[in-house]
Amino acid sequence: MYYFDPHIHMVSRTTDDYETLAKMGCIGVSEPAFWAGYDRGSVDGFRDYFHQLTDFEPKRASWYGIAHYTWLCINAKEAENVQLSREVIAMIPEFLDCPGVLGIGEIGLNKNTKNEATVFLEHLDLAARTGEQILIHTPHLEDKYQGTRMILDMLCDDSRLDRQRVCVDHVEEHTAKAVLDEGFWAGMTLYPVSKCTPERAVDIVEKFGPERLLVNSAGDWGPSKPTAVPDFILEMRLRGHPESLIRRVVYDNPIKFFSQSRNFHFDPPQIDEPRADEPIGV
Amino acid sequence: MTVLPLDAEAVLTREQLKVRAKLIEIAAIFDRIDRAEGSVDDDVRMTEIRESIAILSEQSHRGARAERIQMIYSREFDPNWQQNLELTKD
Repeated sequence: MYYFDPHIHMVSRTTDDYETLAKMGCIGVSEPAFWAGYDRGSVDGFRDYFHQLTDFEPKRASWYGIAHYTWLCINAKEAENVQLSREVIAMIPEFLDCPGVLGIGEIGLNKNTKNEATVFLEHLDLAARTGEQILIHTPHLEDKYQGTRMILDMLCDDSRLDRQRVCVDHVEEHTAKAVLDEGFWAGMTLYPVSKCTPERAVDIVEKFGPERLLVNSAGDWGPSKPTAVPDFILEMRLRGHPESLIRRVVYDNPIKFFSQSRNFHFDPPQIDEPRADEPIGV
Repeated sequence: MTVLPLDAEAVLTREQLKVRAKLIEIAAIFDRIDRAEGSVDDDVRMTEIRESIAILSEQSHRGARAERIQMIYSREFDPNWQQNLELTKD
């Protein structure tokens, strides 16, 4: 089955991973800007990173027939440095017209601090002023519930934002409903230990339905599995869900969400897969 | 809500060995703690674990056990957080 991985940090992955993804049916990825594992020291460090995201990564992906899209921001971990954050936010518009730039992301909170919230609001303002879509990181573990509620407060306070053009990522059992109820898209991240397992992500689809739900691997430099989306597909099949439902979550939904971005241009492959509305594999 | 293609018995049949393995794994971890020097009986993390295990067998949490356990491991949300952080939009 063809699929999109709507959140994966390919700068941290090898070219062999692109090949593996392609062999498993991945035809498109979107790569949000994130933390490199160390704090960058200057706005020029971010400028170089954005060049990598908008120039080299699309090229590398294309070697395997994968379309590459990206999101730009300074991430929440580095947002404690408000001055640097403001310099980066001021620089981002240099890249907003580059092919494949879908919007601002992944912005969000990490430890739910005042500085993080300040920088988050300034990113929101940039997105609202420039008409960009938004991809949002929610915090990890014990900070997730509190941070997600804070993020929803800030999003709902800004009447300029079109909720259909915002994805709140890394939802789990205790945060998915609030995000979906407010009219935002919700992303489920499949991680080996933290966040969702493929099995729990399928549970969430079963509980809330496929509307405005995305599933991703968030493959990065830490413990993560870039081929997690195929694991989700397999789990859906083994539970007897129809191919049409699986395809909606892993292919139709990402395209529907991304299509709201002016820089999303995608030539779908000629899909000649069995139009099985019947389950297989059980 | 999406209708589950598998009925309850089929789900149990599919998951039973996984549940068994996870329960034994947790039991073995507790045994390992017991065998180690010192005590963690008063450790807040053990309290969280005990509360989580209790939720597994409580009928009142049927269908929402994962969400309930997530909340045990979540910091509280303060609806007045913006005022308390003195967050301004300018």
